[in-house]
Amino acid sequence: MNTLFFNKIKSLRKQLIIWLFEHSQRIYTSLFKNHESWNLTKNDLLNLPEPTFGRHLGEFLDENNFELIPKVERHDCYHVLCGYNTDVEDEIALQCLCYGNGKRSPYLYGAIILGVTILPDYYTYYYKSYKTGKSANPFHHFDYKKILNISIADFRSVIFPKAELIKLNLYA
Amino acid sequence: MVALAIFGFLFACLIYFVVIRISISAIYWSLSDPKDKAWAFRIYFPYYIIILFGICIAFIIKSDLDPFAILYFSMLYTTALIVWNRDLKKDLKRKHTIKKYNNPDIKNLP
Repeated sequence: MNTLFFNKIKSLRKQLIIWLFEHSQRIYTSLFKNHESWNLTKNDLLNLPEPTFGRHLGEFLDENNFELIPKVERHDCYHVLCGYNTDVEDEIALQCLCYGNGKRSPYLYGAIILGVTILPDYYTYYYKSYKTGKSANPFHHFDYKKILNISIADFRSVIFPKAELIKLNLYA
Repeated sequence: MVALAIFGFLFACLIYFVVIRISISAIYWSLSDPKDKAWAFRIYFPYYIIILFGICIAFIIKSDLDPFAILYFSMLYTTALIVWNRDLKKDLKRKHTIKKYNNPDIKNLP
């Protein structure tokens, strides 16, 4: 009974974060993102050759039934590069990883503070992600549209040390 | 004056550590199996830390973002995280040891 009750509350907390992510993302994009969107569709990405980063991005979008979100395409690129899923805890951990990697943005601060506050259950995961980001070479400044054609394995091996790739289960 | 300030700071640290330790231990004491800290961590830790975060933020805002208050309550929050983490690790280690010695496949046991 006790466990069931607390699990229910936990799922409500997760839903609250999902709701906050969905609504804040739209507002943030309209206020702070002034650059051009990529004008690419999921199918364009799926037509790229197998080992490319773009193809993996397309497969990631396809598996999760997503389309590229205009102006925030790079966020999905981070997911693919780091091998993180789209669960709430993975989203927060990814923001922690980006923070460790040196990325700074109002949205990142908001996501980390709200995420860690409302969903502290996974704080060891968040901390590990932060450390992973810190040990990796900076990747948040790239123009991802220009590197859609490079090999994902090569890209990952440039960004992450081998030990981190093994930890992330990305070592090929 | 400096000695007094250091003494006061250490006393404040001692007080908050005792308060945190007792509040966490009180959660364990309230359980039917007080030794099962991993379960207590999974169920109660998030709510404990959410409430503590709320209290810390409330006091920081009430102090008009005084730097000393920010430092004090940040330390308090971090200490609570460390105490919970330490308890969890100890419990996992204890369970691992029990499992290891209850395993009949392990040879050469005393």
